[in-house]
Amino acid sequence: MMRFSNVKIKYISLICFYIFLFAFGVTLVFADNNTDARYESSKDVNVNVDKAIFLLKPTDMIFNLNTYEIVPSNNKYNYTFSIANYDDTKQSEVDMEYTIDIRTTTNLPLNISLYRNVSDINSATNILTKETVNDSNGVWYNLYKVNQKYNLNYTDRITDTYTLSINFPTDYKTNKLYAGMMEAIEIRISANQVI
Amino acid sequence: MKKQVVVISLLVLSFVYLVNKTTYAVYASNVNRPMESNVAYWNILLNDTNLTDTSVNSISINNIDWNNTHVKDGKAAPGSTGVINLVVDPTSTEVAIKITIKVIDNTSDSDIVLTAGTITSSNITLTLDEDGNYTGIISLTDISNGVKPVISIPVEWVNDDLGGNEVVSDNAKFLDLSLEATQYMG
Repeated sequence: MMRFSNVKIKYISLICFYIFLFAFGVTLVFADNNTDARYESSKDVNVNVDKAIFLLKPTDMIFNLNTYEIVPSNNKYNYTFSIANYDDTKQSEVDMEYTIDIRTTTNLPLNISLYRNVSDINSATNILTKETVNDSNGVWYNLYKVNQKYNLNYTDRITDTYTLSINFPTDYKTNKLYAGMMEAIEIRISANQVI
Repeated sequence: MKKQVVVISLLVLSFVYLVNKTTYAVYASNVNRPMESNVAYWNILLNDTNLTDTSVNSISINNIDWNNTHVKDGKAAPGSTGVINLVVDPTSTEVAIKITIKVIDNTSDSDIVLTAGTITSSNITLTLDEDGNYTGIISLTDISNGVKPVISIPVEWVNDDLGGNEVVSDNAKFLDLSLEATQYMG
């Protein structure tokens, strides 16, 4: 019978030990795979929001206001502009409200009136109220305010037409003080979405 | 002699063990198809889109139910409030499900437009954890009974009333939302 030396026995035992280790490792790998078999799914959710269009379109807001033609007289110089909630391609998708105010320098004693959606201003009511104020720099100016907000509902295509009427009273016809003076006129439209 | 027996025994045991493992592995792969019939099915729809489809990275939600009085239907603007409804349909799934909803809104990231409220669900109870995530369990009984929880996320486009002309860009992110479904182990 073949005899094993002690060295050979140790050597073979070591090999067996490694074989066991290997087998054990293989077992662990398989066992680990089984543990990971839990179902799992996840997704990002893209929240798409369709933004409403906010559209205010003033038209004809550039006036050819020739100050040399504004002379003291009984005539009224009329300028028309409009405010709409749509343009050629789009319409506002929110309800809006707006107001108008006009600021002028105080150089000329002009009478300024504003009429809304009228065909004949002679029988219409001026919607402006005037006050003279000074700003933080101490500069005086005339502030004409429309004391009302007007609505532009998104359900309708709306155009409001305004007529700005300027008169230089004939009483100042002989007053040289105003000769060569200039007046700046600023029309400001403030609109906001109705919440 | 005793040593020889020990050594030989170890050798035999090692061999048998390895052969056994190998045999098992081969068996398992060979009977792959019959085994499939015993594997629980995992298939969840989220608003009719397959949540378990690995080829899809994200799901788009377009049908927010906006509650507006001054804005066109289906549109949103500052001040709008609405609800995002996520319908979870686990009908064909055969294991209990743990749902986790993660939301990042305007309160934690100012670049995000919408603010989310408390998330609720029909049929299941959602719990807010310390990480700010909502979790809920759809039990196997619920699934068997055809329960399809509707997760409701109230949202608001807060009007900051700054009176400015700030415009939300077309690329703006309205809400950072994700949903995760995992097998619930109990």
